[in-house]
Amino acid sequence: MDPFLALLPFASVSTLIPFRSAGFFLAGIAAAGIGLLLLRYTSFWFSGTDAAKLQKRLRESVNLLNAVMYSMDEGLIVVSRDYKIVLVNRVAGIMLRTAPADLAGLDIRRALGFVKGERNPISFELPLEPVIEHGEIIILKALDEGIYAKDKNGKLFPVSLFLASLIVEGKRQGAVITFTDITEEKRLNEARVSFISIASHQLHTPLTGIRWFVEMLLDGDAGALTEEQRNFTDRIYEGTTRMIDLVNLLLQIARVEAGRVIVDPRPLDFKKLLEDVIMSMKPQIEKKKHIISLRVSSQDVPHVPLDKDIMWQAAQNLIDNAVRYSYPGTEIVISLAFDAKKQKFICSVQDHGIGIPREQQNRMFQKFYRADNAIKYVPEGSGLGLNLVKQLVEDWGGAIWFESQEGEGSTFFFTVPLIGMKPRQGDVRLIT
Amino acid sequence: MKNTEEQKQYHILVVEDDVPTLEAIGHKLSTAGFVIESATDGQTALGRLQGGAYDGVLLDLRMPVRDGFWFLEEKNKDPSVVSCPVVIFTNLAGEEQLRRALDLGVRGYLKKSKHSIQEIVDEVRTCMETGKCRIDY
Repeated sequence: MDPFLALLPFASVSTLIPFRSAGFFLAGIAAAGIGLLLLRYTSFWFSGTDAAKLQKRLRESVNLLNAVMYSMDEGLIVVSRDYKIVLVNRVAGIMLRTAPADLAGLDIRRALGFVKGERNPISFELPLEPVIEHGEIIILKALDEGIYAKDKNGKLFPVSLFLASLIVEGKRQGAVITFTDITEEKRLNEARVSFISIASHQLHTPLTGIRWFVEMLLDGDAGALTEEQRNFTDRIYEGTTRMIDLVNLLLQIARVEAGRVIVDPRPLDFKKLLEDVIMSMKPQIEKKKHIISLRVSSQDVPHVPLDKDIMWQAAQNLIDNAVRYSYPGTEIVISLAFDAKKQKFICSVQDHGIGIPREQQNRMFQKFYRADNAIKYVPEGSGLGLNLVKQLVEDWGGAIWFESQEGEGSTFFFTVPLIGMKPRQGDVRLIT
Repeated sequence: MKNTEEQKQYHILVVEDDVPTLEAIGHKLSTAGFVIESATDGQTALGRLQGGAYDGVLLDLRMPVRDGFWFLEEKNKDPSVVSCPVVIFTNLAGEEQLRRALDLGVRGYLKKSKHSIQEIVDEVRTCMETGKCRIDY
């Protein structure tokens, strides 16, 4: 028998599990194990030196792989086709507070316990069947999924899981599970979330107080105001409103970045949403005597599942920018095209306004960044709008870009995939 | 200016820990013909509620000592005050808080940052007079 055959499983496995390094290593171990078995039962077919060389090579492979398994940062468990635990690495044993040897040969479904959900945990079974039977790869990120593993003492810890099929010589032989304890990650995320929540309240409270007292002054609750007093009080009110808007925008961005925002996609008439956004901006549009044109490339625009608040915020931000940075009396063109081949929508907002200087274009999506001409033309801008839009767009799997010429105008583009937005549980709406 | 003699004078307990906010809303409600008493934490508020006769409570959620949720839980245990309508007014954003408050039986839920002070007063009046109380989602 050709000694090369013994190494063939190694090669075939490494090409069949392309994904994670853990899977590769594991596959290598399995292959080496099979190689060793082959060696044991076929070695008498070889000449003495061939067998010795092969044994040495295999032993080296096994030693290397064992060393890797030992040093790995993630927990690794391999199960056979009939759900028996075949392999457990050191880190898995530590996380589960069990000696790897104690788990060998046990049915994983009985030996290990998982739960889902923090507040009302329910028993969770690892989706091993689709992996073992159909070669599916399943990734369960704990921050999203809320999955916890139970250690030997019954203590729960949050995990991020990766399940892949174990394929040896083209045949499904079981599953590879890698998992990490994400307690730290979760704690950081919770600290960030709770900071946002506390900051939200702390900032809003004094602002609400100022705003309400100013309103009472303007309502005449402290007596009639002279013209000058009214004028000054109006200015205070404007400043307060700006601060409130800025705080709201900052909080929105913080929520989006913390992954807290609820995404509730429903079939949306995109064209109608754009019309509604334009309608909501009528006062500003009329004040600057703009002409708004809404161009839709085809009549049959499919209703894609989108979260209305998120879509609104993105569209409204860009259209608001177009209005604010346009020269009075100019046209603003909003286009909506449906690219059937590329399976996406392209929406663009074109203005004939101040444009963006070439050398400042690459910073436009940075938080608080404002081009020099923008600061002059619209002193009260926050520099946060584009940052928020970019995060929203990229969150839904779209792309955002622009073309601009200083003094001539800008056109901003963004895409929306036809499959629409994926739902996310979250705990706060984008627009509150 | 409304003619306050024609309207029923509603007795409202305003529970709010931020003094300027409390002063503002207290002043505006009084001017609008409401009879106001106040408390700056949940514990004091519960005591006031149990000791008096109120048509409604305007309740903040985040407060020191005992917060709005504690107040609601305790109020629900007391048959003498359980049915007194509560309108939350808060700056706390979050579905969780809203759901929890609704589960505890509040009638209205107003987000302070969304309304002018006159609107808050109008919402309280509408809630008291018609039982239709606004919920800010």
